[in-house]
Amino acid sequence: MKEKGATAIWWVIVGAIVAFLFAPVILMFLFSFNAAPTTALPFAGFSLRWYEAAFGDPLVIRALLNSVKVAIVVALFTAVTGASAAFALSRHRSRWLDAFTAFVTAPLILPALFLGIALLSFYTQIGLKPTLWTAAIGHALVTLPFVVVIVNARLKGLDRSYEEAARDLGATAFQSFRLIVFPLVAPALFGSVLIVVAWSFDELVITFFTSGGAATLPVRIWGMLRRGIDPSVNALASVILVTTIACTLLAGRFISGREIAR
Amino acid sequence: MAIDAEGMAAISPAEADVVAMPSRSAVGWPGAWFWQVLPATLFLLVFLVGPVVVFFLYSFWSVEGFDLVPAWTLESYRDALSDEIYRTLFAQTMATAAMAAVATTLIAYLFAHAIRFHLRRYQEPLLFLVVVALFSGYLVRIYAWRTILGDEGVINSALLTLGIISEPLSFLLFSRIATTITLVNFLTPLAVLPIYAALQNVRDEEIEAARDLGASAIGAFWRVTLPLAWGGVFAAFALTFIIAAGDYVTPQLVGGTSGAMVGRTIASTFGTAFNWPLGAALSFLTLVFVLVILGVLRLVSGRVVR
Repeated sequence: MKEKGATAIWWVIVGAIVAFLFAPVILMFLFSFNAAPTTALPFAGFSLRWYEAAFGDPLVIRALLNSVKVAIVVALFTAVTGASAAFALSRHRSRWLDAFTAFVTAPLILPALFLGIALLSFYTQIGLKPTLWTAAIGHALVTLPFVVVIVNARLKGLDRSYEEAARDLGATAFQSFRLIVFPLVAPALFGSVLIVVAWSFDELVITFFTSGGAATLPVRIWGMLRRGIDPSVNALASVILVTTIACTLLAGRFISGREIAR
Repeated sequence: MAIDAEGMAAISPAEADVVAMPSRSAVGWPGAWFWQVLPATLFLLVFLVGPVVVFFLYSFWSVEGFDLVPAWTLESYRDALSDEIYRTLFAQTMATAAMAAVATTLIAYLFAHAIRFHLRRYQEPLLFLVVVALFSGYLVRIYAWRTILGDEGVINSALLTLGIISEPLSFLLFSRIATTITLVNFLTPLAVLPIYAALQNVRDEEIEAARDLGASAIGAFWRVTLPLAWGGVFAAFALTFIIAAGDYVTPQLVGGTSGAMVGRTIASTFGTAFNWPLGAALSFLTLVFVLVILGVLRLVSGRVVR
């Protein structure tokens, strides 16, 4: 009986924390369908007017396309370089590789503002004109560790005897990679790339400083916020939200929370 | 952590070549692992080390009109440290970031502890919920708090409708409270992950052994669980403290005057106020303050939690 009471209390605590985490985004999502331009309760009724207003704006459409372009480029780049590095990490031990692991995760523990203005300084100094593609470099910097860490974890968990069996049966190194190892890690790679896309789609600070004025969706919202209250921001924010949550949920089919928690 | 990034700046490409030496075969080729890790390493050397070095150098440069002038001057650091405005700003930033980091770590610990020890059967889905929260909106979240806490926001309009208050509680938005709540809200998922990973490494047998030897549940927590998980708990605190201290969107959107933080000022030196050297100096000073505070806390906590 006592045990049950304690469990109930823990559920209340966990429930309250989950509510705190999701309440703001759920509220904003709901208000994006509010007929009135305010974000005050009670709701004035269901309407798609803010979505119509948002997508009637050519600048928004361009920002959306920019976001998609950046996400695709960043996903491809981090998938190739990250998976390649993960292979090295899982198959070889040396203190240089330990140093690499610390190195590759460093951008995650620096504030985005610091990275953004450091990159801007660097581009200015070497004479590289900031564009959408220099912003993509910043995205790749921060998202690369997701691919490296997740794919490395999956590779380390693989039973190497499958590969050895393939080699014993006459497969070349490349064949055993292509036919055995790659299919076994492909889900983890795909899952980590979805996380990369979710992160890239949501990124504001680095992009704002390093895109040379080219707007992705969050940068467009940032600009709209500075101009004053515009309820179509709720609609745009919801578009980002639905995209990132869909990517993460889909990623959850291929990787576990524990693999990300490392 | 951040030190790693700077420590790594010392590894030049020439040394990276030496790295491959031990596993070179007789033919003289480095091992496959060297080539596999090379693209990512080069990318990081150019686009992580390069920017950090340039940014650091900028903090010693000076500005004349709208031109950056290469120099070795400590002027920006002196300005940043001697001006009363910046000193207050640093103090306020550290206080707000520390408050946010403490609250975040406590909440994240409660969550991780609950799912690891008390709601075990549901730990995977609950942990995954946190991952979803982690990737569900940065700007979106901060903006949402602005609409929740504002004079015409959800809280005030609900309280007014219910007749609990007759005028909106205007202290909710543009204040240190608003900044802290918002920071805690987007940092909590980030803090749960390292704490959960650390609690996973605390074995049930270790806690049972303490209980068998007569420790109370609370005693076992203080003497066994917490010391064993302390590395992860401290990592979560350090991570959230650094990110909170360097955030600029939160103070900009919900902070107002009393919730001001240095990030906003740094951003403006790179925008309208055009003074990159000062912005760079402020950035490195913030990082140094944060690392010193974390270093002291690490030392002290190592003696208390054992």
